[in-house]
Amino acid sequence: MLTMRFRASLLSVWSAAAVVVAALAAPSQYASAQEAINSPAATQPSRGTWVLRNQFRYLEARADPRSDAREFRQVTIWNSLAYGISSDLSASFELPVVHRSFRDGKGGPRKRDTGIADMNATLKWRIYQDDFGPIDTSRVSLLGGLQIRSGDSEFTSDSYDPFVGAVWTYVHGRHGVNASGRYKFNTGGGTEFNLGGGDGSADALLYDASYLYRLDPETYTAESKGAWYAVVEFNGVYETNGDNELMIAPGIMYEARAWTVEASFQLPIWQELDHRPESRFGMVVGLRLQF
Amino acid sequence: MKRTSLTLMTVGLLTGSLVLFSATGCETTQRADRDHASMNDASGAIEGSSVTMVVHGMGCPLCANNVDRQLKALPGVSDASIDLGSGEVKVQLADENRPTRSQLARAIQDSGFTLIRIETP
Repeated sequence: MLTMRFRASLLSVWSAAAVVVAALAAPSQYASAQEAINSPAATQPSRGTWVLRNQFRYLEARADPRSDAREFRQVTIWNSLAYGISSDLSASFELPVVHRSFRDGKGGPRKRDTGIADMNATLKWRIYQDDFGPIDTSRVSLLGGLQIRSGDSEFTSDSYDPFVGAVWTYVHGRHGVNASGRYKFNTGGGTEFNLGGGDGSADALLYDASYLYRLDPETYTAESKGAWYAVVEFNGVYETNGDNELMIAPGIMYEARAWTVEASFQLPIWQELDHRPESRFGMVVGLRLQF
Repeated sequence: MKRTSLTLMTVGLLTGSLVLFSATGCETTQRADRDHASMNDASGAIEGSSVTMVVHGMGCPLCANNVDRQLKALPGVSDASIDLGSGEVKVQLADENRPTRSQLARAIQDSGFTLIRIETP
C-alpha cells in the first residue's frame, strides 16, 4: 500500500514535470530529434539505406496473478531491419528471440524455454517535416503494421494483430523530444504470461515519451564524428482489460556516423496489473548499424 | 486517485505536444518553396571542382551519413564533407560527368532533409 502511494506520488511529480517541461519547451523551441532506445521516433533511413538494429533486453518480473508462476527472468535478443523506400516512407521487420525462466510455485527448479516471439512488420510514413535550422527539425510520422504470429507455442499470441500509431520528433540544439502512441488491435489470443505487456488477449495502447540531451560535443563542427547523449524515457502499456504499467528508463547513447551503441535501465513507476506479472526492472544494451 | 493522475499525465503530455507542435508552424509549403528555388536553373552540369550546399534538419551524426551516402551515389561526386553545426555540405567533383543542380537537390531530398541553397565558387 505504501509502495503504491509512493508510486502514485512519484507519478504525480513526473506528470507535473512533463507538463512543465512541455510548457517551457514551446516558447523556446527546445527539443531533440534523435532516436531513443526504447521509444519510436519520426526518423527513418534515407532512400535505399538499411539500418540493422540488435538489442539485448533483460527483464525480471514478479508473480503471475493468474497462476503459480513467479520470479520471471527473460532475455530477448531483439533484431530489427529497416529500409528506406523513399525519403518519407520506410519499412521495418522485427524478430525477437526469447529465453525465459520462472519458478512454478514455491521452491523447485526453474522452468526454462527458448523460442521466437511474434514478429512485427511496420510501415512508417512521414507526414510533416519542418527543418527550421541546421540541426533543428520537427517531424511527425504515422505508423502502421502487423504483428505476425511466430507459431512458437510458448511465446506466440497465436494471432495476426494490426497496429496503428503516430510519433512526433522535435530537435533543437542539444535537446531532443519524442512522443508517440500506438494502438494494437488483438484479433485472437495472448501470450502465456504477457511479460512486459502488450501481447495479452486485450487490445493495447503503447505510449512513450523520451528526452535526449547531447552531452558532447557542445557544438558540432566539420570534425565532429559522433555524439554522446543522455536519455530519459517513459514507456507505458495500457491494456483494455484495465492493466497499466509505466516505466522510466534513464540511459546513455553514443551515435557515430554509421553506428550507434546504447544502454538503458528500466524501472516501474506505475503498476496497476491484474492479468500479468509486475515488472521488477529491465536492462537494454543495443547496437545499430546503417549501411 | 491513480486514474486521475494517469489522466492528468496523459492530458498534460498531449497538451504540451500540441502547443509545441503548433509553435513550430506549418512550414511544409516553405520547405517545398525552398526546394523549388534550389532546382531553378538546374539543367546544366555544375562547373568548377567543388560546390557547397546549405542543408537544414541534420540533427545527428547518422543524419550526416544519410546525406553522405546519397551524394556519393551520384556520378561525378568524388567526396563530401559535412559540418552539422553550420549545415554546410562541401562536395568535391570529378573532372567529368559532373552532376547537375537538380541531381544534387534530389539527393538531399532523398536523404530526408531540406536544401536551403547551393553555392558554387
